[in-house]
Amino acid sequence: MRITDVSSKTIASGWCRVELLTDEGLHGCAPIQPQHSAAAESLARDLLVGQDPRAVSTLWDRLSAAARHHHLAPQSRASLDLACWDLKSQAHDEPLWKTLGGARPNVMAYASLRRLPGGDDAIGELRTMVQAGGFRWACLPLAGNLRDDSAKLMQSRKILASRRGRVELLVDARGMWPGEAIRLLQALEREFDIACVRNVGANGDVLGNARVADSVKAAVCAGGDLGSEADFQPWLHHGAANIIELDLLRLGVTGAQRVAEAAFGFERAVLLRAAPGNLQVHLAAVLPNCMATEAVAMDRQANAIGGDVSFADGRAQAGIRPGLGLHFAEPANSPASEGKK
Amino acid sequence: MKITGYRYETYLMKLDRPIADCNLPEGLDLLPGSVLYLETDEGVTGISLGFGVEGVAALFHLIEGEDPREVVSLWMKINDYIHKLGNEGTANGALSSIDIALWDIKAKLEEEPLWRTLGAAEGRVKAYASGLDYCLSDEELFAFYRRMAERGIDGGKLKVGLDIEADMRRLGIMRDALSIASENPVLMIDSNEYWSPKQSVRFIRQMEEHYDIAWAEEPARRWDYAGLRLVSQQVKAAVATGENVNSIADFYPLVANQAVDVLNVAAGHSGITGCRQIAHLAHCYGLPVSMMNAQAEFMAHAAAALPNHIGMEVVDPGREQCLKFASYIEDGYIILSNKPGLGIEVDEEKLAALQANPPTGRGQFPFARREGAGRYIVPPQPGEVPWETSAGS
Repeated sequence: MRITDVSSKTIASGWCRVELLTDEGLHGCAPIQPQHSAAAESLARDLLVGQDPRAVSTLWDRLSAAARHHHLAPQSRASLDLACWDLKSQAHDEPLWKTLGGARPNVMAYASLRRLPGGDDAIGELRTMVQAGGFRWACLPLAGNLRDDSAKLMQSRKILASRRGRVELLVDARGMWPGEAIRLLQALEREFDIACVRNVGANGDVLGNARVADSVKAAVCAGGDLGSEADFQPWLHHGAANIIELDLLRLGVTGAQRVAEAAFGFERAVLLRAAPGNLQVHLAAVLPNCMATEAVAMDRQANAIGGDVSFADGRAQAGIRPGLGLHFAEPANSPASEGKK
Repeated sequence: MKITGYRYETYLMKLDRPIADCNLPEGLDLLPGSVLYLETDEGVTGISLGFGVEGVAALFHLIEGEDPREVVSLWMKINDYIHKLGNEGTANGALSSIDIALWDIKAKLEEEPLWRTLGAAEGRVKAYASGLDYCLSDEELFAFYRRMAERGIDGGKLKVGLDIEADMRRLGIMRDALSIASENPVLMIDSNEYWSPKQSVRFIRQMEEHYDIAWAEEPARRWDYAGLRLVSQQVKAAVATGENVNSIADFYPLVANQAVDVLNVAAGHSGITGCRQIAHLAHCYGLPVSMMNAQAEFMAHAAAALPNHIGMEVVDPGREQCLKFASYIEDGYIILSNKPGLGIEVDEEKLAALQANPPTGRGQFPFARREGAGRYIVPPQPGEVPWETSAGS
């Protein structure tokens, strides 16, 4: 099987779909943000056309080297890796989790609120998610105000406790500088048992995160904004992240699996950041150290890119559709009335 | 698609030449062999070679009736199961053996070579020569490495340890033999944990006055991260280790404590799945890995898909009497075939013949650590080695 061409197309909700065509008639598709699609197309024309997409490991290294050389954002080559895996799995007529060597994933999931808990909307969103997906874990963004954050955590804990099973609270520090995060978390920890804090400090603040990890009871989670395997070395070496977060839109399947296995060696659990169609759930099947996957509220993005993953009883389960199992909606003004894979 | 059964065969093989390190200078030419066959309801059988079959019976219930294509999940299931018993020794050998046979099945079902299943673009892996040569005369040493160099191999690893002057002479012989493949052959040494860390520093530095040594293997005990790091910091050569550990868990303290520069990975590191985990750990840490030798070089399938693999050990002592395979070495690379799976078949007739008439020879594997290891050198005794020692024997 050889890749013959690449194209990208804007779909609904401001996302693009990058598509690899092959000489065997298979199409490998992956989501990509519009600002990265031109770079992805260029990379694919230079490095993927003429290649066998099943060589995912080798191709990832070639793409990564070129992306580094040309200072391209990691998202450009990650989407191509996803599309190659889509082809590899389709060629075997099986879902990605099986191609990776996994059994059907049924992994813990947490409801992730991406809005500030300043109003009732956020809590309403959590209530809706819990009712629909049975979540017992949730991640709330911190406002930085002890009174408001305490109130929202209290409300969230109450909502989550409506389901059977152990409740876990995660918080998102939203880039709060380490000193501020330590003060706020230590205060919150007098009242709440917080499992994990994400997004402390500026992107890349290894020492700041290490300081937080040494100062609070919650596990510090980092890595979601890192885009290459080597980026994770200082986080592992300095004990700056108790939990590693992986974003498949930056690392692809190949890079994310490599980092997850390095984290496994370092006895670190991983959290998987939500990607369109919840495609990250496939990878969970082969990660011995997967703690949970993020679940975000159904929104316009989810409607534009559907996946083969369902949430029930606080867990995510992937389906059996071949490949990534994604379904891309056409733009509203497209002549096609049906979605296209 | 389900796993339905298993069987295994054990046998003895007589090598084409003896092999040795400084712990057993006189060497041996008999090795135990084994083949694990994992059977499925669709008639596809996976094999693995060389170790660990004795423990399979205790683990088989974990995979019976399962889909062999879910090999990584099955690895996780077994790994979790054995954590109380300890993932070492027989348990780890069985896990390794099962995992490799499962990967063989997975690739066979896809009708593709395993290197492709694992994501490599080609079944081609850089090789280096390793004579396991402590028992070879100087002439035999030259002949071995020259034969390797004629196949384009430009790196060699010499067994050292008991006689530094002789080691240096033999390093020169190895270099000369390899010089037809490269003007600057890659030279490596392996003292197989015979030296203490400080002995390693003394002896390696002495060698480095005359030779550019790429790596020194096992210059301290496998778990001695402080000793390995000390050697790494005090010699120019990289420190390689890992051959005798079990899994990624054993590599963690070595990597985290900057005690290893090159990770030796092997089939016995809880299989291809475990081996890949270790390589990925090293990769994220900016460290290279080197695959240990294997019958018919079958672990080259895994090596081909690793981002940080620098060269696989080729020993070539003649361990393939009952195997049919199509891989070969050319221009310094192991070339794997496009046959499905590992690309290896067992010649059942030859296997049965080996079992019916076990060969005889010298030595027994595994063998003990030599007296003095880590404390003092016990030089080769008269008749122990077929080469001239500094004492004149």
